[in-house]
Amino acid sequence: MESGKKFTRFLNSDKGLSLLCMPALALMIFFVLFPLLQGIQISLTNWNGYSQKYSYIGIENYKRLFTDDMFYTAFKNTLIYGIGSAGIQTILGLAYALLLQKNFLGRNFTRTVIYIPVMVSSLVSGYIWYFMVQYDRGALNDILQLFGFDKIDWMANGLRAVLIITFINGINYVGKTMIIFTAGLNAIPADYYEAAALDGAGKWTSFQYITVPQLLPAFTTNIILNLIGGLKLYGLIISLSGGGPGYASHSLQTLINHMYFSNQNAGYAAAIGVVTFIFIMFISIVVKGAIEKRAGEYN
Amino acid sequence: MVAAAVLLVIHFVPFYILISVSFKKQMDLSSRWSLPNYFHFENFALALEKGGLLQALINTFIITLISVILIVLIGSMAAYPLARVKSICNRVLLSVILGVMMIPPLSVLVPLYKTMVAIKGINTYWGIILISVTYNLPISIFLFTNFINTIPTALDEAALIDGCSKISVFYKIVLPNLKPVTASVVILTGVYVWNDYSFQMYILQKKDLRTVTLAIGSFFTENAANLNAGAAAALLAIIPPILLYLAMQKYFIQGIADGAVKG
Amino acid sequence: MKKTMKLALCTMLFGIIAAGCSTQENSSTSSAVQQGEGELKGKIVMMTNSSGGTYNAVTEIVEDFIKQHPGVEIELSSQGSDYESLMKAKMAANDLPDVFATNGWSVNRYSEYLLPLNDQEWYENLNEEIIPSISDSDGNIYTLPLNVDKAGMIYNYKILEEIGCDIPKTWDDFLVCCEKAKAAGYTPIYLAGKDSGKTAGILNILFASFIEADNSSGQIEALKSGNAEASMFEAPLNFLVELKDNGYFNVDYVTADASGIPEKLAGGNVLFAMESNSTMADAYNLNQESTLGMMAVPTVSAEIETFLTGGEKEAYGVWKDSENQEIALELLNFMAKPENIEKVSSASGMPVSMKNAKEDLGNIQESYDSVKDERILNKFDRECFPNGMWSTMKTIGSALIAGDVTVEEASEMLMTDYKNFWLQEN
Repeated sequence: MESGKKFTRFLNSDKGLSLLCMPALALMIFFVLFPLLQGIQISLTNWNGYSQKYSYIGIENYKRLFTDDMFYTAFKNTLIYGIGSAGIQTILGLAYALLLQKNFLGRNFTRTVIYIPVMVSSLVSGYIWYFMVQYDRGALNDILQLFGFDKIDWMANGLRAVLIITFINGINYVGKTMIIFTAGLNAIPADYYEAAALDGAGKWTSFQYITVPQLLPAFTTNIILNLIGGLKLYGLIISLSGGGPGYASHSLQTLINHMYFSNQNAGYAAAIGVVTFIFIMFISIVVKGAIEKRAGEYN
Repeated sequence: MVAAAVLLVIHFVPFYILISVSFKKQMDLSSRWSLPNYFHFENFALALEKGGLLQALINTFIITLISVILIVLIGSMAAYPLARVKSICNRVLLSVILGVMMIPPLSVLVPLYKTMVAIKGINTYWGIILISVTYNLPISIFLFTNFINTIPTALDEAALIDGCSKISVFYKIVLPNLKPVTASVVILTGVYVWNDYSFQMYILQKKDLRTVTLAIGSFFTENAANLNAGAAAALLAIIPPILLYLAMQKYFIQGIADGAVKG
Repeated sequence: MKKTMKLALCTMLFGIIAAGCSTQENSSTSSAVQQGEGELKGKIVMMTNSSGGTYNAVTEIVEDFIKQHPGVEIELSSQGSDYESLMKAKMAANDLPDVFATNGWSVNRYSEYLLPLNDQEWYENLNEEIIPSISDSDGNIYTLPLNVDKAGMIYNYKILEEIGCDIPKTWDDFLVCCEKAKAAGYTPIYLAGKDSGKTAGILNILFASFIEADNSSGQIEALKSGNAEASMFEAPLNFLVELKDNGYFNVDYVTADASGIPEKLAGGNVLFAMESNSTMADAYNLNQESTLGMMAVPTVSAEIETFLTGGEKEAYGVWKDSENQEIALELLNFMAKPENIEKVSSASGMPVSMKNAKEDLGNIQESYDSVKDERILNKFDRECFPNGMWSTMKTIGSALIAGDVTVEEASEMLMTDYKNFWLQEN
């Protein structure tokens, strides 16, 4: 009986409350931490990805990163994918949210259509967009020809392919950003604007001094989510360009896949994986810190 | 209004193209903008029969449903102490959990696969469910933690005085209040699980366990690809998430408002 | 009310999870072979990457086998283009299907995990020409080939006739044909470069022709003994660049998706394609009126004989740790029967692998008959390169046609990987 009471008291303490974290923690240790540690271990070997035989080669794989042109390209592209997607989605998403603030017939329908691509697997939506940018019979080229222009092989130029993929990713997921901003806008009390109007503030001034500061948490959430989404971009690249032309549009994610499964270089792929993880973590922390600092200045 | 109409048109173009492709014969080389002037449903028949889309829909539905229920339960449970007890330990824990969002799934795939083989989780519903739950927990914990932060602690305290234990406060006071943010978690994570490709491809190798994404993918990636049937399959597979979204739209925006934008 | 709901939900959840567990256990107990009165009993898992007609043919054969052995259960699945990635993960975890397609890698990649099959009845019936490509250095084979990937190049005989060319025997003649076809408004060569494997395929043919078919100064021996030189690769790599620079490929050669190849060939605007013959069969399936045929690969000079490349295509091995080897071997035995070999052969549009089987390839039989006297070389990368070079060829091939690297850089990259992989193997 005594121990029962003790247990009740334990449950009532903050420590006892933390028990509620246990299922989540257990899952993460087992399915995330262990594989991650094993990944680090693999990154120190010359394993080919399937044999039972391999040997440890120290930090050789990490040294190779510095001289690898493919890694450099993928690294640069990953930055473009991440920052570009976050930029496009945040700006367009805010514009869409503002535009659709006014109530009109078909507003929900418009929002739904914009949101649908979020609900389609990126691999599949990549193929849908492939129908648009394809050289032969691509929908875009059909329009060009209609106006008497020559067809363009859209994905044939490395940088252009990267930018097109970034743009498509932005357009695809702008719906999510829009919803988050819409929610943020809905949460701003209407009397703020009324008070500002009484003080003689114009539309732009109240946008600058009421809307933007009030939306800061929404900005943080959006930028972080979109940044991570862009940095982890995978399915779209595979279905739109396959990483090509050459290796010009690879991201770190697709490069890992390429090294692990097409190339027989699991050790090196694991090293890229470790670096990617640290890199994404670093950027997210920096960006989050920067936004929160801005937020501090406002308050 | 006009601007909204322009948006609508721009965003509708990919679907229009998808619809036009899915109703055309494979050797129909006409422009993708033109709709066929004949009726041709064979792509859909092919998607349903050869792709086993119906079975895939059932599989995906079961996997998504159970995963989402677990994601909501486990995520909200973990979020409560993380939101209420502001110890250093908890803050570190929270950032580590958010860090999981940043792990590129491919870099853990092979070790994860080995683990799943060891615990006999390959080709099982529970195997893919556990993984889907784990990798979607961070976003769920993130939203729930933010939301619980907005619930006044006064409510909790009142209940404590009435003699509830802290854990039962969670079940009796906090959980019932989580409805709107739960809608956001359900839609966001539900869509992730529904659309996952990498994990499902490795865990579910049997044809009769295949999910929607795998079924559609097979039309696009097999050597003798049939893009038209793939388009038809994709069109059919979009319908359930759209219905989910429409059904929960109202709560969704409200939940996002409470879970993601009130810092 | 709410509590009951919650309780019901939890029960349901655990019920389903537990059900998942128990089905798993059931299947593992029933998979043990129980040998009762000579009747096979048990369950095996079989995986393949085949699709289309070939997959249907294999499925039919497996179903016939089950009919004859009612105690046997076979779980067959096709993983399409994700097959190789999946198999690598499965090898890493030492968890392979009992029977699986070896897709050209039975020796180099899978032999560590496969049962040698030289002692099987059907071994005697194998066509001689296929044996070298599936044997390791000790003469062991690890796979049952159902058909032979005897391939040269695909060409459109109607276009060739129209532009007044004969089937080219040398690359110089080939260039002349390309030029004429281009002038007449046709696409001389179709390449779907979005899939880097297609570019690697062209390289493999060019290497075979420039190096393996020539072999005047013992290049094959040099390559096999770790003594390759960068200069060996320059001529074929230069030739690829020349084809590109002359505009002989389709305009979208770096972005075209492989799924469109059969459609393009069936469309009748393409003169040459360096593709396997199953692509030709697919094209005929789309358009019976196609005018496609198969030709031998040209060589650098008229003195050197033209050739075909050969190897197994649809082929199955048995996992050496399989608990149901008896069933697996019996299934292979059944698949090796002449009528089944013939079934796969006609479905895939590829020649039979067994001496006792008859060939009927429908509308492409004629093409095969026209090249039946050509000599057959093993695929270049399998014959001359150490394991792992295929992916290097993919990388440098696509970088080369995209103009990202020069021929010199490309041959340097080839050499670096060649040396690494060779050292790993020896």
